[in-house]
Amino acid sequence: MAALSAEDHEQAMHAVLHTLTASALSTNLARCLVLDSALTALEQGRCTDTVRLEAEQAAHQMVGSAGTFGFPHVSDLAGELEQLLAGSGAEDADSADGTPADPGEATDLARARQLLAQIQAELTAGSAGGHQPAG
Amino acid sequence: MSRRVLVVDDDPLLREVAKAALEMVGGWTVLTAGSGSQAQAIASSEQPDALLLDVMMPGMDGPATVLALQEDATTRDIPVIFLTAKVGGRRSDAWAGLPVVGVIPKPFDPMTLSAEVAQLLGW
Repeated sequence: MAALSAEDHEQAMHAVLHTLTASALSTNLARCLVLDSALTALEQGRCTDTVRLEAEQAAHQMVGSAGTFGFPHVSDLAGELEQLLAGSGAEDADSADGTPADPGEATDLARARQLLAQIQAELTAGSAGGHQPAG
Repeated sequence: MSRRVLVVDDDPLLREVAKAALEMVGGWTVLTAGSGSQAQAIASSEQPDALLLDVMMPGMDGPATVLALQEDATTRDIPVIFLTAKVGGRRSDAWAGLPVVGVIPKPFDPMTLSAEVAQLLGW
């Protein structure tokens, strides 16, 4: 049997990417739900460290996953969201006791909401449109 | 003989795409693990030629895994490459001094991943 050429391997890799991209879209949309819950908790001043860390991890995973599976802009947005979540943990040790957010935190939360909405819109559009992975 | 690489990532889809990329494009044999503790066990039993290791994982994260591998005489010489969305920033300070061969940022390009790994390892 003839050995596969580099082009054959490349085509096989594209086929794998195509197959996995649909699953990656679903997974990243599910991560959006985790992020939405955490942002709601932050907005209401009742976010625990555990919830915030789970959200930070969801955003972090989305950075790698979305970019690798053909959504580089979503990856960038998720990176910014991850940084905002990390900052909310460093700056607000009192958030779980219902203390209202200060103006700086409120601005960050508003930005985080914008980012999440944009991420959801782009992933949903990709999901509906049969998005093709880059690469 | 084919090189053997252990890919460690808690995201199963990223594990799968990295495995496919290293096998199909790089022509290597790929083992996988979904956690640091699982990676430690597989590295000890299978003695791969290199580890491609995610940094931020629940439980034993990438830096803790590197330290655990260093403490075991059977795994301390296996070269490790970090694969991470965290490059720069405050977290990178925590692993700046660790004995890793290099860092490949996420997102990665599956078509060039094996070339990046080979370059870092001198393969």
